[in-house]
Amino acid sequence: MAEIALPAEVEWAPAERAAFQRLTLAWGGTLFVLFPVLGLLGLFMRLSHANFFPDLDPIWFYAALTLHGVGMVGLWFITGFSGVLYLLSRYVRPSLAVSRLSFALTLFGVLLLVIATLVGRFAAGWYFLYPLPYRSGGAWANWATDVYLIALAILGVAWTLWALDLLRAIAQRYRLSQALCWHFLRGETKPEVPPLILITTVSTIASLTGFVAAVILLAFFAADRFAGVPADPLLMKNLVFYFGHVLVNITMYLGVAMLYDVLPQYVGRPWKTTATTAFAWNAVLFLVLFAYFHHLYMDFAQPKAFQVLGQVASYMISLPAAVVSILGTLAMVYRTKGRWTLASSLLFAGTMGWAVGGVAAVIDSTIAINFRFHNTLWVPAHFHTYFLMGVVLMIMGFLAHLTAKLSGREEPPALRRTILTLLLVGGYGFCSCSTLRALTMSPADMLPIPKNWHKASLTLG
Amino acid sequence: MGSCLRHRWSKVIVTALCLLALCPFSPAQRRGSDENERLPPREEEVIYGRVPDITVRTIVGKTQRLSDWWQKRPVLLTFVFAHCAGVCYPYLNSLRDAIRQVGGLGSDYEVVALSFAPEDAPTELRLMAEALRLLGKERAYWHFGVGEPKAMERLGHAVRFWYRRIKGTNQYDHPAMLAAIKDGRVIRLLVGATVSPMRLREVLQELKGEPVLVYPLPDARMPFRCFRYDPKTGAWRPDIGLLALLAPPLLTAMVVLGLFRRKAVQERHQASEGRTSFDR
Repeated sequence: MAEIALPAEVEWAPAERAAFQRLTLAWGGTLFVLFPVLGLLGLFMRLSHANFFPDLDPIWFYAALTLHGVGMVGLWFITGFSGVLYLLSRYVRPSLAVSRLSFALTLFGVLLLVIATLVGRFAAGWYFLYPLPYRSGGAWANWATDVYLIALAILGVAWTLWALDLLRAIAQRYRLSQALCWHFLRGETKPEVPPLILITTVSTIASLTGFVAAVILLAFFAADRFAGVPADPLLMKNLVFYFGHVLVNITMYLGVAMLYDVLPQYVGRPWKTTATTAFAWNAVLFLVLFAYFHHLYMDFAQPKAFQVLGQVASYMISLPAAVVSILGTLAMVYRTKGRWTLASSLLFAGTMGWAVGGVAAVIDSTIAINFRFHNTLWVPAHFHTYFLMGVVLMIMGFLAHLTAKLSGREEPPALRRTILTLLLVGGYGFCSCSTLRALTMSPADMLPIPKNWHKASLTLG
Repeated sequence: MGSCLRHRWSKVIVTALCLLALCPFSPAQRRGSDENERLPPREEEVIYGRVPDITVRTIVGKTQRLSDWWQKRPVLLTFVFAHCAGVCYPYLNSLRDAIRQVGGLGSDYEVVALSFAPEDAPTELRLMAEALRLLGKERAYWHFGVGEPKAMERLGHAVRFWYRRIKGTNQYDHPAMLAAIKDGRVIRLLVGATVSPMRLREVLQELKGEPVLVYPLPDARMPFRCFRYDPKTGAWRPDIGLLALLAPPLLTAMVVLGLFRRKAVQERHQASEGRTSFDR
């Protein structure tokens, strides 16, 4: 395999290198255990839509929705982060101890999430919009909410430590202006900075802002729970989506970081940082903080300017990162006799899936259209497209690359073709069903309504 | 003695079994099922559903279809009956007052009040309309009429309106409700004995495709709010809670600058050391 990326500049002791590889494989192994389980929860929800369980309390639908949502986003974020960390270890030296601690805390957090949702029947959705979590009308007990929020706090601490350590490692080698490639904007090309460093720095800084938003959010929840101080639901919703949207966006970018670093090794062309790349990713760092407003189009106590800002940021954010990365990928493979292994094929397919899902996302972020699509299956359809057919394929591509590299084995071509065909046909088939259904449905008509909630709404109404 | 006791026990058991067998038909059971049927109509069951385009005989002697109205502009459809001694008259008054307060009648929508009572004729409904004391301009956009019973049944089902005759009277039990219809589809249901102008305004906003405002109720104990929003005027002003949204980027910027500052200091230090050795 051609060594296209910048030469490794960090020397690791063999034992350290092996430990890092083991940890990355452990994250990968966790992924292959949890992903099917969380996928089965998704299947359960679709079967519920099809009225397969007419006598089952609908609260289970929402409990599954909650665990599926938070589980999938968190799972792919941590796998993406661990993969990027592994790739970065050629250039910088992240702490193995912090990575191990994050792994342990994450597993503990996941365990608590499972208890909160499957035992405590916490069912407020991953977004746990205030004030629902502590005012469930008897659908779940307050202890379940406590466990859910504690789980999020633990995950937040784990990932914040991880992010801080990664930035520390980058800061040991690069100045901030170098890590963000500002010298490229001035026309300079030295020092050479791999795109992986640029994208990771941008993503990690952005993810830190999301984690801070989550801390503030949890503090407001605690004030409400323990001191009886009510929070502003609109402020809480802003904070939830600040955190949630940034986390999902960053997960995407971690997949893209892998693309920039791994794909060139298969096509034999280097992917170097340029002024355009630097501009694009610095713009992302700015725009990602505002794009989340598109989750609040229905909240009209919020000034119109914020909604417009949400639409403009959502449109603009797709230009630099997506267009630069997607066009870059196409240019890279155009007329190239690359080696089409499972890894490179998945990375390429993931990039194209990101484009397809991204277009659907931009459509949904258009205010006039969002009024029609809000609460329809278009919402899960578009994010499943860019997530499942985008970042999931990219990260799987990285894992295929890593395992092939470590094992030294090439996968049989027939197996590769079978895996790719199943993933693409199954994935796009699944996403297309939701997209097509979205066009014929009315808002929220896929949601079962718990009996108690209906009675409660009548009483309140 | 023993045989007498056995006989008594067998009577008790037979009676108990009979009572158990009758349970499904007991008044309590019937009441339960009636109560379920008489729940207020649920908007989520009908939203965006099609409304049958029935024929209506109006109090001005015209026969026309519902679509003749909704093709011009959206329609607020309500159900009443002429001899109503209950909610109909207060409800129509409440609707009229709310409409006067909110405005838009004739330009944005029209009102259609249909009688669901099979015995009602347009002439009887005319008295009802007169009792409403509509102003001259309003009369052109308030339409009263009756439909064929079967057609009314289909229409009622489409918007989940129900009614039951109260035995021994000429009265009906029915919900007071309003269905907002645009292009033949149900956009909103407004259920309740009085029409609040604020709720009506929301319905009209949805009919126009405008967003419906959602805002937290004022609470003096709420220390941090993003905005203060006035639902009457739609005006907002920023509040201290907005700072909570600025905190994530600001705190992150401080942390990141702190982390990277060490490298800059290190470089400066190395540069100054290099200069010192050169000077020597």
